[in-house]
Amino acid sequence: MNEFQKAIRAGIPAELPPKKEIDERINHAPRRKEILTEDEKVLALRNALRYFPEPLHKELLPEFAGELARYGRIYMHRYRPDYPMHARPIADYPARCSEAAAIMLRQRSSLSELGAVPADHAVSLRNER
Amino acid sequence: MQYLSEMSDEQTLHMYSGHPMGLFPSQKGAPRVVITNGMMIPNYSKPDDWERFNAMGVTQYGQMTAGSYMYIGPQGIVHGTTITVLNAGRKISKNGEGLEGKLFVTSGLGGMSGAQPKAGNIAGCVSVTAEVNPKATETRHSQGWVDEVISEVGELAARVRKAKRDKEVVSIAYSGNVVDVWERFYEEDIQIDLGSDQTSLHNPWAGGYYPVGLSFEESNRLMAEDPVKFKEEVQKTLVRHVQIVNKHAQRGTYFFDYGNAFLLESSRAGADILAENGLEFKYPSYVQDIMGPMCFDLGFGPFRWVCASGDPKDLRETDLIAGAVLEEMAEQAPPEIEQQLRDNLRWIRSAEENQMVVGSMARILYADSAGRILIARAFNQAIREGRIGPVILGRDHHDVSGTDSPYRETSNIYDGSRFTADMAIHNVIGDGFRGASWVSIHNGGGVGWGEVMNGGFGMLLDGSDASDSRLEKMLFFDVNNGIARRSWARNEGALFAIKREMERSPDLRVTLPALADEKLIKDHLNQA
Ligand SMILES: NC(=O)c1ccc[n+]([C@@H]2O[C@H](COP(=O)([O-])OP(=O)(O)OC[C@H]3O[C@@H](n4cnc5c(N)ncnc54)[C@H](O)[C@@H]3O)[C@@H](O)[C@H]2O)c1
Repeated sequence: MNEFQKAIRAGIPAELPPKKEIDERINHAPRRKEILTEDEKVLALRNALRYFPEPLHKELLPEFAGELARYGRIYMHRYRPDYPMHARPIADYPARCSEAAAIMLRQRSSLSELGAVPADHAVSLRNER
Repeated sequence: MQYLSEMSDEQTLHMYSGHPMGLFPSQKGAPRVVITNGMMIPNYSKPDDWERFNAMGVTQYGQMTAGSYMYIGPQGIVHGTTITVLNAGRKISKNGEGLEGKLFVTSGLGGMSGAQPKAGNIAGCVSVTAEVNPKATETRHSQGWVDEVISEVGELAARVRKAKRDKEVVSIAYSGNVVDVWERFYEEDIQIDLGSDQTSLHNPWAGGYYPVGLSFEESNRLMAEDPVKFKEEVQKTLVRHVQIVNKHAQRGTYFFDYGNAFLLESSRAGADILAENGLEFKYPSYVQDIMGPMCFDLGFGPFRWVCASGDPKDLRETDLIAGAVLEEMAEQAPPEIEQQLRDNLRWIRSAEENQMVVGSMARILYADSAGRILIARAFNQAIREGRIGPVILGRDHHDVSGTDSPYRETSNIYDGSRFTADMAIHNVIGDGFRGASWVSIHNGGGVGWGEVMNGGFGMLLDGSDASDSRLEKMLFFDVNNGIARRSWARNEGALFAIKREMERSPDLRVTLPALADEKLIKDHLNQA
């Protein structure tokens, strides 16, 4: 299994991946207006943390709260995949059934082929799983 | 992705607005993934509801094909735009002349709008596309999708004058606001033959449309720091934008809405965009004038496929197969659909040369239900014989049946039902149990959150008999569902198409409308 296949199989990593800088060269979505009440912000953060084991929350919280304050959204930059986003031959996708492999192929390449739109922000990490 | 890599062919993954709810036991032949995006209780589907619930992480914007894993880059939109520009050209042609030396002015070099310069070149005119975001312009220029970039409007005017005079086929990007182009060309008396707009007006308050007179950076700052003021600036620009388009229209410009909600948003901004009856807009949407009656009502729409091997040889082979099918169909077609088939035959023959692949080995063409089925069946046969690897079928959402969108896909439905969404919902359910490998249904996408329901599908062909039977049943429904609805709305082309289909397919029985005489009804009401 290569790195890409391992990353796919692993899903959300058990350990905290290294923090990521935001790549300014990739076209980013503009900052959203502030819309949430204080209570709703708590909810947004609790919702985002649902994806990660409880012991990681202390470390993730300031990052997610920072994103929410800066962009009005929680993008979970740290969890952006490291493998390059592009269409690979169907045989490269680790799968138990061919339809699932076809879907992985289309899901990944749909994102990469978005071209000049802010791909970095187009979909949150929640799609990664 | 992890779920997908683990699942068997007796499980289904349910995606709730980007959230993988989980894998559930199902059965072979059922969709492996069911995707919904932005499904809301209808009363909670205003733009601010999206801002709030998206920020909370419980919903996401629908998108069109990207949200259903069927985006293939701008090829589909190049094809659609080329057909639209060609047909708009036919509309303004006085003596059967083509588009040589004629000028097309529009805006947007983003995800989909970036296809316009290329379509202009394929259609053979001079095109000017304005874009405020230098990064987007750079991207398209470096990809070779637009020939030249000019950032001074006076220089642009001089360049365009020369291009028109010499009948060049050239695409020019103007790095700046589109309103400046319209205004300057009016002052300098430059005749614009075709005009449109592809800013992201489905999202006017958060970066889809940039006000004139402010720099790109200033606008981005204002948007976040003073959204109320930003909204005012956008509305002011829209009013000015429409004013200058109106002036050009008086000089003979054919302006059309290209599905970005330009007409809708400028009317909301108070621009002078309503026709004299105060109900309709001054300008047609391209679906009402072109796509609806000439394509969708007849079942023609954007069928697409991806060669899963990633091998360009496979794509070439599928191009040949599809071309052969279209040619045979064109020879036997009634005149109503022959032109469609011929246009697409020409497209598929030059598709490779136009180099539109940006990643996946993907192709698009317009075909009706019979054409889609014949092409897919021929692919499955080629897979069975080992001539090509597996093929993934799909389509754009901008199609006959998949999308209910009152100002776009279903804008040429005139029985009052264009604000309903039953068709799109029946489509996704119907495709789901007829053998799609995955299905999706979205709120939003294209024209905006709360303004559209649109759905798509994907289907893997692996050369098996099971693939043959699925493709037949699913593609048939995926087109004829919409034709039935369009014919019930009394659309002439759709009545023709569905009757023809019923003759061919004994298991199809569609309820046909009796055509009541409008005058009879009016006279009766006037007497009463
Ligand atoms: N009906 C269809 O088939 C169809 C096809 C393509 C696009 N559309 C619609 O067209 C719109 C554009 O789609 P997209 O994917 O290209 O979006 P996009 O956001 O990627 O691109 C729009 C571009 O317009 C630019 N822009 C905004 N205001 C401007 C202004 N005043 N002057 C010059 N440039 C300006 C933006 O910077 C952006 O790059 C959307 O609303 C989409 O739904 C419809």
